[in-house]
Amino acid sequence: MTPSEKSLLLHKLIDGELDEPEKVAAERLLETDPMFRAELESLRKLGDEMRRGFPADLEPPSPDFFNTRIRHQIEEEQYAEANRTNSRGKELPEPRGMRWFAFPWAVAAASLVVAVALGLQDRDTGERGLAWAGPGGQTSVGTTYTPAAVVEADAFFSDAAQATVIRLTGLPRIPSEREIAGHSAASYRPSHVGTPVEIRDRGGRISVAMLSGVPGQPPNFF
Amino acid sequence: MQVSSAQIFLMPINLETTSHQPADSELVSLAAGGDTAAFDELVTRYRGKVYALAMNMVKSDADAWDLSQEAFIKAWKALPAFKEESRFYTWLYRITHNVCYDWMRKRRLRDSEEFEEQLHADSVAVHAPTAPQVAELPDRAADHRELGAEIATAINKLSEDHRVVVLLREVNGLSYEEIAEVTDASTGTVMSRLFYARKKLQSLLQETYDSL
Repeated sequence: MTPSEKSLLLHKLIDGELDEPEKVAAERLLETDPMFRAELESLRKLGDEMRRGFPADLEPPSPDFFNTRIRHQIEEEQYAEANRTNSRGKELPEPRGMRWFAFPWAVAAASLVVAVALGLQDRDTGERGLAWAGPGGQTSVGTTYTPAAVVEADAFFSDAAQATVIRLTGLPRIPSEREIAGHSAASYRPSHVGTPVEIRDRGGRISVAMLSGVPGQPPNFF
Repeated sequence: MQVSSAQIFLMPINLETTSHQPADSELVSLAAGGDTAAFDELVTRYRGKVYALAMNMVKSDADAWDLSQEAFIKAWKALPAFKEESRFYTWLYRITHNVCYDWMRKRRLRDSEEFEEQLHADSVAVHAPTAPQVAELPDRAADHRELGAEIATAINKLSEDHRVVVLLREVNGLSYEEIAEVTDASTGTVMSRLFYARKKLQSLLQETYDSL
């Protein structure tokens, strides 16, 4: 058996892809060839280390929102399709969901579950991508979405807070016992009386603030 | 505010929550007929695997999140064309692989364009010295002695084609035939890529193995 045939046999052995005659040949080599055994051991070790270092299954951040956003996109697809094929030519109401980018948030407030999705668009490039709101008006809010009929959400970039602000009108207060999950958020400070929830990025800057608001009144941060 | 959006958002999943776990084929068949709840169950079942595959390919959690989303949306759209002879997860892996591969190709193109622009922006003398090699800090070098970190570094030195094949085999446990389906390559190509990738990894890790 040539060295390359041996190598092929070895790789098929470790991958469980041997046919019957090859199994016999591999067993013979395992009994008689110490180099073959050593090589097999080395490859097994390599595979074990790879499985240790690279996950085969890894729950994405905000898993519930992961599903929600997919459902929402599908609904938008269905809406668009229905609009295209609507033979009566009647305009369908436009959904208020995300258009081309969503920023995953899941807000659980007591028994009321509110989810807010933000679209952030880089004004310079218009490219899709995860963008934290930053100073200097680098980002703008696309759309907001809330599933709860009693709560209105709006979002804007505040120069005063130097952050994107999510304002939940109709929610009396944001419960401090509930953590608000932010995608790639480095730290989180829950809301206390009169203060907003703060999400900070890795540089320690506030990237998003969330507060319960009063209709017609400007937000009060500090 | 329009309440209709809220009602859609909060729509309960109609799948039975008894001990009966519907098979993939059952869910796929329902989803292909437009049942979003069935598709939602498939997303829940496979989101971890799809996200892990995307993470292993693009090495960025935020990009992996977005790309996994894109893969599932593409899968939803393509479900009516799904052929029963394929396994659903292999088919989904293929979509994920293609989405990530396209993304990496575009990023490479963009990076190369930016590099070109930078070259033209900053005039550099033809014989200017290149940046000096900076020795690693001792504590960082010590960290890198961890075999796991060394393997991650070594894998990242492989080409995208070799990396994905070796990960699909060793990490995801796919057969040669399944890897061929996912990567749209022949079984022979898969075997040779796997062979090369392992040899390359062994060679890159030889020093580490010897020092342990």
